[in-house]
Amino acid sequence: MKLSNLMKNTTQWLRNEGENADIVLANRIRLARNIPHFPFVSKMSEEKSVQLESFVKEKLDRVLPMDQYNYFILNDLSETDLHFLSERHLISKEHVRGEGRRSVTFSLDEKFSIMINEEDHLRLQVIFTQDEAQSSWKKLEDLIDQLEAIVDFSFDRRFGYLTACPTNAGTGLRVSTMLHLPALQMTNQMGKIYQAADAVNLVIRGFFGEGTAGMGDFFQVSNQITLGKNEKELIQTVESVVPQILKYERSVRNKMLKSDRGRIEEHCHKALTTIKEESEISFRESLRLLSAIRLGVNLELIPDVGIKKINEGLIQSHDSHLKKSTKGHLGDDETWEMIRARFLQNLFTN
Amino acid sequence: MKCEKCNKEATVFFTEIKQDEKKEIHLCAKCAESYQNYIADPHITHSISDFLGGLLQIFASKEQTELKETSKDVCSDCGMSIHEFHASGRLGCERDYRVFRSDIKDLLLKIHGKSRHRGKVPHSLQKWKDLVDLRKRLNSVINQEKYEEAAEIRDKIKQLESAHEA
Repeated sequence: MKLSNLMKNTTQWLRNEGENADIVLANRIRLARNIPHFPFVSKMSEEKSVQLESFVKEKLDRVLPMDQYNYFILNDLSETDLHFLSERHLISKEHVRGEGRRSVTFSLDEKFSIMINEEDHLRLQVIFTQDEAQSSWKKLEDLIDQLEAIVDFSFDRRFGYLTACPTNAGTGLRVSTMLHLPALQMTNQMGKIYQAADAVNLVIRGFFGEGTAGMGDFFQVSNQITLGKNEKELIQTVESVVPQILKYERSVRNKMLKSDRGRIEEHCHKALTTIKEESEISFRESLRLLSAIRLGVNLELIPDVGIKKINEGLIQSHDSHLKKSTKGHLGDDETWEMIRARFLQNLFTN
Repeated sequence: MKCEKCNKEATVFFTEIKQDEKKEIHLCAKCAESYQNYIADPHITHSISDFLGGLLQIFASKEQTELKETSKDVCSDCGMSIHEFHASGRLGCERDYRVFRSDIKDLLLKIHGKSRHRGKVPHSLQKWKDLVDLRKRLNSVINQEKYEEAAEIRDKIKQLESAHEA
């Protein structure tokens, strides 16, 4: 399996066009587990990391239908390929930058992925759309149960599953919902959301990019605690808060439409015009423009553009996706900002 | 985890990258809002790292002083010391959870508000977990004076205990 084959498709989980797709991009649950008698990754020698990777691979071979999974050793991949996987959320940025032997296996539909030797020995994740919430947790739980039947995980009766960072100890479970909240961001309401989330032990981070939360108005809401509650309770906490945020975002969108329709229309259409006319676009700028267009589409101010197309743009305008699409070649006097501008123009004119 | 600006519970996390060095910034909701406004302000020309660096240094030096007084332990398996753990926030191996048990228990309590796991357990400990849950329920129904239910739970406990011993 070549990584470039993945280019042909948008990641399945971004094809969400169902209920709440106007705000919810996707949901994710991940579990952290470690194997006894191996040091945690930060204290692991190269030799041990190789031993652990092959130990885990052998167990995964017994549990996963490998003909439906890809398996990559990260050490064999180029810098561009590593970032490409990270841009598709199949591996984390930490996994890209890590040391020692690291690998990843992910299902062909890119919904399930297992990182080996990330911060913990094993990080299993499932990414899913709103209507798959129940079944996705069940599938992940089945997978971890099958693995646990053939391999022990580091566990303490009081502290639960032991992880490299105590912020993940206990269940090792982090559930996140990725949200597009342009109206709340534009009207400076995010502070209220932070406070509300804080009250129920949830954390809000930026979904794309680092350095600022909410670049392009995309956020993720996750559980802050992993210990002291069971897995279902942790999932339910996030599930119960998200509808309130959706309601708030929608009510602000409606208010903005009523009181300031002209300005909102101009904001969204200007973004579409910029994308069609600008010859160079930075990644940060692309997120800002795609966010405005996404808002315009959801408010029915911009016709004939699907959410799926915008979601595709959100992933494919990342640096390494552009590099893969051009096989790394830049023409004379060409920049990646020009390639990005051209990609976005094609996306919205075709 | 405490807010690096005001020491309240931190709920918002920023990752700052400067010259390829990654730094996590932990802030409470209120400070996060002013931080966002701060970085969004185009008139501010000096670096965010300078601004937060000062705060982090104050925080780190305060924490180090506290550590010197609490523990000198080092894990014989992975070589992790309590100082190293507090500086990096990460443990070196599963044994560290035993070596630094009391520090970790306090830390887990600070992070999660609780230090006792309530979730899934390995298959081999499922009966043990069922017993723990039943005993907890027994105490609760006795407090509510539901004695019939208490008798039923007591029978279940006996059954499980005898199966466990067998």
